[in-house]
Amino acid sequence: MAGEMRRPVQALSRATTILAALALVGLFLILPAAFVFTEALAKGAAFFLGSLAQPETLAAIRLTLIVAAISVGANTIFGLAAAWCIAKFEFSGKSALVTLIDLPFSVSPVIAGLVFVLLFGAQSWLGPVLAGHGLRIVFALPGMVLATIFVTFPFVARQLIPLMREQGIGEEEAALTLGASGLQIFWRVTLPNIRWALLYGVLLCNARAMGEFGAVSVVSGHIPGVTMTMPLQVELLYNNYDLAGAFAVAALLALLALVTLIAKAVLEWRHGSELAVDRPGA
Amino acid sequence: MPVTEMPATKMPATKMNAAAAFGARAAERRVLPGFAPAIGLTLTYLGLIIMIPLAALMLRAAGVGPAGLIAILRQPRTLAAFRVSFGLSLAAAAVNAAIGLLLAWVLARRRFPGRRLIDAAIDLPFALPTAVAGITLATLYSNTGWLGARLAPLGITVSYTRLGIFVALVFIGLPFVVRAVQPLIADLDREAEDAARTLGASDTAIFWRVIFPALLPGVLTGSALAFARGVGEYGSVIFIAGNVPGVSEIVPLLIVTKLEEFDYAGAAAIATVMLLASFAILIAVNRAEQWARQRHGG
Amino acid sequence: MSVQIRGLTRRYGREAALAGIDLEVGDGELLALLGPSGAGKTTLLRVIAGLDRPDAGTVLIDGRDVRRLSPRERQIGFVFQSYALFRHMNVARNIGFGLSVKPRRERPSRQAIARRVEELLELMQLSGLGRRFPAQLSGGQRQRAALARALAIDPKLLLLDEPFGALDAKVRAELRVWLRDLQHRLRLTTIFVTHDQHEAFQLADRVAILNGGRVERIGTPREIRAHPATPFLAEFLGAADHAIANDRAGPAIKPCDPADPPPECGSLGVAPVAAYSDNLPMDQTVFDYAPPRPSDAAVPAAADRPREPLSATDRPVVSAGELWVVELAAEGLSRFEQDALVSANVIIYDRTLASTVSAALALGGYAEPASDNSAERCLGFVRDGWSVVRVVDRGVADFLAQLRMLALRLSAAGAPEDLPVSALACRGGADPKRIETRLADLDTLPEELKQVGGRAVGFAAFGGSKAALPHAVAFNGLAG
Repeated sequence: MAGEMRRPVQALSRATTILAALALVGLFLILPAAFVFTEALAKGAAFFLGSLAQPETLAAIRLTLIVAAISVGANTIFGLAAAWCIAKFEFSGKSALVTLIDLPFSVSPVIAGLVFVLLFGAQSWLGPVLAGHGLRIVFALPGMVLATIFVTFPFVARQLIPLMREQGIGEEEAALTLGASGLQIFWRVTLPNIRWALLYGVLLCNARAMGEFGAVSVVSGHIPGVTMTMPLQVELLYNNYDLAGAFAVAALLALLALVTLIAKAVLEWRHGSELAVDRPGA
Repeated sequence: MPVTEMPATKMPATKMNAAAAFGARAAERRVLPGFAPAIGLTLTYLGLIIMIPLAALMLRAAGVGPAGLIAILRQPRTLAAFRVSFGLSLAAAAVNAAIGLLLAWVLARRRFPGRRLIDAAIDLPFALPTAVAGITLATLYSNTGWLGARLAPLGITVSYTRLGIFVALVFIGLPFVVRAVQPLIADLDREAEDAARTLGASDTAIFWRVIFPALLPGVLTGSALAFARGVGEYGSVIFIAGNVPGVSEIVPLLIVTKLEEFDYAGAAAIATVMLLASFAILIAVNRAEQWARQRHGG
Repeated sequence: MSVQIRGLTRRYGREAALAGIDLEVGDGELLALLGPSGAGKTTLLRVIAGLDRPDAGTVLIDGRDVRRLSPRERQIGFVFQSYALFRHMNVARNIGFGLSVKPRRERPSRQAIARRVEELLELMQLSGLGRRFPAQLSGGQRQRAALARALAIDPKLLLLDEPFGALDAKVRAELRVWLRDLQHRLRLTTIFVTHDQHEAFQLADRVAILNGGRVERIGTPREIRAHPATPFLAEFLGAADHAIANDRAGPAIKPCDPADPPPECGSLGVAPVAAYSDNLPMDQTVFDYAPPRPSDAAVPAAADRPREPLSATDRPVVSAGELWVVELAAEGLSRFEQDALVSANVIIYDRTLASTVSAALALGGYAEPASDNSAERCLGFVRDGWSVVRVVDRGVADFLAQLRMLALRLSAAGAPEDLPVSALACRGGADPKRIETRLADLDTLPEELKQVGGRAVGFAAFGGSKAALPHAVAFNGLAG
């Protein structure tokens, strides 16, 4: 019977597809990821740690942390505010607002940096004004923070909005009838219901903020020790043919990526129902 | 609940605030507190971070005038960069569509050890910082690199060529299609497949005629996102690309170069065109996806 | 706390969810908002609560215009249809929430809050469940927790949106009784929304029937039953076979003119009308009837009807949940109204007691033709509006047969399995011996009668003789 004959062929084709998939993933994804670490440790652990301890590298690490902290903090507040008004209220222009929030995903990071150079750079309209007050935005921390915020602000909001929409306003209304003020409602009723999604969004936002390259590169001016973040440092070291050094810093960033992925997986596994996960990039 | 857009008839002047501007009737009805501060913060933030900067960009580009814009765009270098970026991104998106579909299918429908791990690994290109991906791919595929060395005898040079750009674009676009298609696979109507089987259809026929149409919207969405990402990608690509103007220079790099030459107008012009082109393509794909969804009966 | 609503209007786009509502709720009253879905009941409730703002009209709570007041300032307790319990707090914290968010000056101490929570847990029969989370509770428990939470803040007005909608029939039945009792004890003005007419008629002091955003009819359950007043109502109340809906029949009871009440007017202000259609086969009559509930004391003060309070001395009342044993004097409708018939499903009466008959008929809105030469008949009124069957009383065996028929008919009509049937023995006060004989007969067959057609049967008795009472009490196992 045709059915009987098909089985071994089916099994074979199944195995082939699985193997093909595994090969693809292995070759394209896992190999590069593993490669980062092998290259970083190519000259031994001592060299690896030594590279990281270079003053410029340490400065880059510090700057990355600062930029990420500010960006993630600001974006979290924004995300909460945006999700609150979008999910719990009706108003005209809501869908336009939601589309606007997704904008950075369609914009090249280079453009994200460019717009701030155009706005605050020396040749811009505001440039002389700022210079007059001794304020530097471009080629300084504020510009880098702004560019990073531009690129990463959707992450928290996108996690919260669908979840809060799904959860509705029932509990908030109940709290209102029980006499709670706006802040009390938000803090004691809404926030506990979204805490895992919030954490998830913050994780993604942070990973992206720390790893952002294109936007920050345009805005930073590449001033060694001053406006170099870790990704920029990687580029610098690589261009100077210091491969081991470049990969050392890269390995740190890759480690961050892995930790983020693991944390993501754990969150999805333990609290999947409370996430209403909007798959990244989808 | 539809928002009633009735004119504000009885509202005293004092109540006309930002919140009321979003539909006066709706404002009167808002019972939960906190709308005004939330929307105020949101709009201010968006205004400062997005609207104003983008407006500045458009203004700068417009400042050149339409003639100037066309002149900039017609420069051979600019045209070449657009060809490289858009062309290779398109190709990479197409490849990702196929690979992504395969991966999503295998992950959803097959059981094998390490499936969970592979599933998590799909997100790697998305989680890995672009500079890290960039130097890794560049090193791997360089002539002395692990993969590059094996490909060189075959006459295939990846690094510093357009092929390198292509490989990098495939890498970073991989998760998009997979993640867009996975939920659709989960939602597939198994009974429809079984029905087709009982009607005598072969596996291939079932796949192409029953399953694939349902997944098409996801494939389109994912590919579109991969394409959009690819066009704007910088960090992953510049290390492995030759960055030779006219040959392997991508648009983002061209913009950066213009900036470094203080040709702000040129940079703004190219950036604006790139944005508009990306938006147009995204909208087109969105429509296509809706069409596919409707055809299939979503 | 009383509520007055005038001209309330609320539109959604073109449609009007509320199209001019006028309503009054008296202090301590339990009002049901009844109507098909889309009638505007929930909208009205939410507007009263302050969760929604109307386009026009006023809402006065205790005479104050509350339009500008937020929900928290209105001192209302609201129980949502989906309960809306805070999923990330345990039951105790849910209940104590309203107290814990009070402004610092008014906020009770932690211990005080904990005590109040305990009190409420006990009141709601949720003791020991304080540490559980809403997801770990059953539907009925969640319902009670939501109610406890609303009551914790000592609201002056309680609003319930389909409180029992999501629960199964048995739990629903239990909770109804319990809620009624609770509301009574607390004397809390309550408005609840339901689409279940049986629930509305059973629980409420008055029922407001909404349709298309308007109040079609408002009145006590009895009034509405007797007087559907509009074709919509008649249909809504399920009167397909309804004798009352039958035009030829005409109204079976009519309200008395308060200025000049006729002699047969009872204390509720209605009197039976003698004429009735004699074309209808009596024993196939299906008649929806919701008898008055025990607490007629809750009739709003707006209706100026004299009320006769229950006096304990010569009218002992014993109740066991749904069952009532009331001793009545033989004469007079007024005594008769004293709740005896509330829970009775079947009335077996001695036809010599004419006034009893007419009283029974009046309450049922069903007038027996004045002259009837057929055998003694008894009308059965079935609680929860299931059916009226005529039971011919020719001795215990016949009584039994009639009960079985009733049980079958109930099943055929789809009555829930656990709907008890209680038989009320009506007997004349004139002949004690006859009465006792009858009851003694019943005494000898307790087991069979306790279960008829799979349904539990209980007994209630009223009549002029105190002597009959112990029989009935013993029979029902209602000692003490």
